[in-house]
Formats: sequence, structure tokens, C-alpha cells
Amino acid sequence: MNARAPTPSAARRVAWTSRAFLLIGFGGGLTALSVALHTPVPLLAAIPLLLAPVVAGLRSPAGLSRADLAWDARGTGTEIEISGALQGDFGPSVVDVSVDLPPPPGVVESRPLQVETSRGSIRFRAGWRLSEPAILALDPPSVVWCDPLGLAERSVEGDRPAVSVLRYPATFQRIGTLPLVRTTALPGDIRSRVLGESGEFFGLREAAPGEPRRRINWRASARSGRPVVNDYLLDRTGDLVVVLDTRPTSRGVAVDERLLGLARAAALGLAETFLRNKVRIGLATYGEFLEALPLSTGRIQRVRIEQAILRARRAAVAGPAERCALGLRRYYRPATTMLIVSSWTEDPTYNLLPYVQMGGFPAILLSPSPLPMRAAAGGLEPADERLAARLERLQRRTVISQLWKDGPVVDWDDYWTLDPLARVLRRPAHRKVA
Amino acid sequence: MNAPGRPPARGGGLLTLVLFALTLGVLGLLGGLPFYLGPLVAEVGALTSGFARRRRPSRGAVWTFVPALAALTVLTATATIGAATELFAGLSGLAFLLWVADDPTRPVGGGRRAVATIGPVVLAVGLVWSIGLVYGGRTEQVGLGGALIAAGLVLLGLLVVSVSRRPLDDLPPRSPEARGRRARPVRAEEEPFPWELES
Repeated sequence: MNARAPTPSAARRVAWTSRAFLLIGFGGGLTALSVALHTPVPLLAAIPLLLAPVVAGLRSPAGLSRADLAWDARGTGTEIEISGALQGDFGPSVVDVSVDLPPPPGVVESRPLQVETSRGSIRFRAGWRLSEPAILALDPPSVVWCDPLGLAERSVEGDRPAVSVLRYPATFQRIGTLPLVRTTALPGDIRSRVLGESGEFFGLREAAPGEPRRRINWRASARSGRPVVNDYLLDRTGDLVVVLDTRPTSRGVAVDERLLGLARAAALGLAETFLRNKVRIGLATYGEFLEALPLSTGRIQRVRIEQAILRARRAAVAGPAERCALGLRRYYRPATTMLIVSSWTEDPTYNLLPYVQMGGFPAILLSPSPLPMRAAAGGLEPADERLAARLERLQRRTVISQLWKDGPVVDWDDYWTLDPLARVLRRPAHRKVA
Repeated sequence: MNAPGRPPARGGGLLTLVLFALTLGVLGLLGGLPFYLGPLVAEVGALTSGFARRRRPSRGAVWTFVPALAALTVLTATATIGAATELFAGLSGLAFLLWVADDPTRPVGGGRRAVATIGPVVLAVGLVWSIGLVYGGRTEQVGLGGALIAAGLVLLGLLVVSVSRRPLDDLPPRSPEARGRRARPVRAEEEPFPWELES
């Protein structure tokens, strides 16, 4: 991960706080009053208010220039344990250094941030709880020195790696064994037979220069007197492209971020389980424009997918659905199965499903529902809350049923299981191309 | 170092609040408002701020200072000219700073740590007040002039801080030549010796 430390010039600059501006404002007012009333009394009171921010700004500690961070996020299930240490030459001003680590959207604080300070290091611990499965790229905590009066502050630079948290349901493991639509030039239900690096044993052949050592059959080589390697039959049941929709909706940034975190968790969990079964996986993220990761398999592809998913952020502008379909045609062959993870239920012309189907791809829409996130958020009485939840559920069901005419849609409202998606994948109906 | 797992002790701010309320109260007594109104304005302003700060101890809640500053403004604007009122106006400002330093959201001992910041301010207030005291014959003009000089210094400081993009601690360290010592020749680590090349 790249360090996200601020630039040195920005980090070392002293900035006044709002408290300093308040004091300067009142000090200026008292000075003006003094001149207007021809009395020195307000000026005597103004001098401390005007001078203190300047002195505070000039007294920033010289030695406190760098603090390197080592931290990690542990825990299982919904629990996240954050712990870390900042190493630097803090000196006596360590008391005035504050560490701030706000939980990202969708995460609640189960144990508040605890900070222990010494002259050479600052250690911190916090406990968070996830509301739903998510893949989070945690931004490093901000480290700020603030003078004892709270009038001037300066952020302390240093190496601050970002930390990622990966939590997705265990039920994902079962989905990877489901057969996908085969993707070859001659479509059908016959398994493709390709000689590859893994799979079932196919036969023996003479080793070529540069052959990996693990593929050499040592017994056969000893018998024949020359190096012989194993060949394997690579069975591919099909290819899968996960399309991650990062377009903004009218629900607001907080809900969009949580839904995107959920979508990222689903995308990575599904990709990982299908990769385990030698399926070629691609990833496309669509915000305003399409970014595509070509189809491939193996451990390196898993790392590529993880990095691409962690890079995916909520886009500022929503791109039209046709653009996404055209982009997919450019990167992937027709008849490749598309799994669209999108919570878009607004303008129907922006729905990806019909356009991707028209592009020649069998597509399934996995739509994370925002309803569980909004549960009990309205401040209503329990009875009214139940009624509102029921109405919202009916409205969502209507919207989802309208989407079903374009292709299979999975309404994902129980975040810790993906059994509804598994049920859809088991049916042959999803193989139909519009 | 704090005990493991225990949050650091937080400042209370009660003692400094009392100090601020007292100095502001004396300023109210000496000021131009009627006998009972001056101390009333002072104590209401100081205690409202103190109560608001204890109720909502947040670093961003700057509005909690507004009642105290408003009381200070009213009392100094209505005060009669005199050495005592000028002295207590300056002392009220200093006591206010001490109370600000005793932040309940930060570790205890803020007032003690802020001495280095408040020290120059005390000097400036003392200088301006003593100028007005010594040249007592023309208190208004001298006091006003001294305060304007202090204000000029403040503006100069503001200019230095806001215009300069490099604070003082950002300057490069002085070279040995600049310190008057003889510079030692330093050999680059990457550069190998001739016999190292041969081997």
C-alpha cells in the first residue's frame, strides 16, 4: 500500500484553529472600539487576544517533525481490533500531540480510541464493529500537534501505510463450486479441454527449456533417462466478469459508501471463491467511465482484483449505461457471464442490466438493498417504524420486479449470506442472452 | 506515561475559571457601569462560558468562549480611564488565556504548559501598562500609543506567519562554515577507494 502522508510543506505548516480566529476577531473589535472611544482600556484587553495566536504559532516544537506509523487491523467476524504505534522524537510536547482515527461509514465504535504516550512513542488501540460485510481501505490516523492554548496546530508527517479490512460471509465459499456458462467460440454445455498448468493429469511429455521444476515427473525422468514433465488437463466451466457499479445515487454519500463497501466485499468474495476453482475472472468498475481488468486466473489475478477493488471509489458523476455496455464489449468476449453488483434503482435508463444483456452478455444483477441500513433511522415510534419498513420493502419489491424483465435480479437484503445468488446461479435461466 | 489502557487525566479548569471570574469582577467593580451591574455582567459572562464548556467539552465548540469575551468587551468599553482599570483589563485578558489553556478535553496541566506561550503576552501587557503608568500626565495618548505599537508588532507577526511558507524550524541546519568551524572533508559513501576497484 502506498503511504498517504501529507506533503512535507503542507505537513510542516502551522495553521490557526477556529479558536484563534475567534480571539483575533474579538481582539480586533476591542482595538477598533478603543480607537473609536478614545480610551486605552479595551486595547489592554485586546493585546493578549491578539498576541497569543501569534506566539502560539511561532512556538511549534522544532524536533517534532516526523512520526512513522506501524499499525494493523485484526479480529474476526464483525469485530475489528485496531492497534498501532507512532515512533518519533516527540519529547515533552508529546502531551500536545493528538491522534484522530474516525471509523469509516458503516462501522460503529465498540471501544473508544485509547492513547498511551511516552517520549518516544504514542500507542493507540480501538475496537470497531462492522454492521455489514465490507472491504475497507482504512486511512491512517491523523497526527496533529496543537499548542496548549489550542490556537495553532500542525500535522506531523511520516510514513503512514493504509490498512485494509476484508470481511465477507462464509457462505461465499459454496458459490464458487457452481458451474458457469462456458465461454468458447462454440457455445454449448461441453467442457473445454485445454492443456494448462493445473487440473487433472493428462500425460507425460519431454521437458522444454525453462520448464518449472515442480512440473518435472522425477520417477518418469529416472526411468527414461531424460527430463519428463507432467501435462494437466485444464477444465474450465466458464468465465466470469464482476461489474462493480460505483456510480453515485441520490441516497447520499454515507449510504452510497456503505453500499459500495458491501458491493466490494461481494465482488472480492465471489472472485476469490471462483478463482479457487480455476475459473477465469475479470473485474470491471464503472463510475463515469469503465475500468477493466482482463480475464485471468491464479493467485496473481486475486491480488490484482483485490487491489482494483480497494482502489474503487464512489464516482462523482454517474455514467450512462450504454457506455458501460460498449466498454465491456471492448474488453471481453460476448457470452461471458457478467455479475453486476449495483444498487442503482433510480432512473431506469441508467440500469446496467438491460444494456449489458443487449451487448451479448448473460448477466445477473446482485442489488445490495439499502433498507437494512435505514432501519430504525427515521426516529419514528416502533409501530410506525414497522409500517414504514413494510412500505419501503413493498416499494423496493416493485422496483426489483420491474428489473426482472431484463434479467435475473438478486435482492440482497440479508448481508451475511448470498444463498439467493447461489439459487439463481443454479438455474439454467441465467444463461439466456437477450 | 499513563497507565496501560487508562485514558489520560483531563484538565478541570475550575481554578482558572475562578481566577478569570475574579479579575473580570474587579474590572466590573472599577468600570463605568453602576455598582451592581458591572460585577453582574462579569460573573454572568464568565460563568455562562464556564458552564457551557463543562457541559459540552469539545475542542471545536468555540462558541463557548463568546459570553466571556462579550462580557470583557462590554466592561472594557464602558470602563473609565485609569491605571487600575487598564491593569485589570490586561489581567482579565491574561486570565482568560489561562482559562482557555485549561481545556477539559486535553490532558491536565494545560496552564503550566502554556506558560511559555503566555509569558511574552504578559511582558507585552506589562510594558504597555507601565508606559501608561510612568507617563501618567498624558495617560490617554501614551496608553493609546503604546497599545498601537503593540498592535503593530502583532500585525508584523501576523504578516510573518501568514506570508512565509516556511516556519522557523523548517530552515536548513547551518553548515559548519557558517558556524565558524573548519569544514571536514566528507567522502561520499558510494565512491569506492582505488584499491577496492582493483579487487
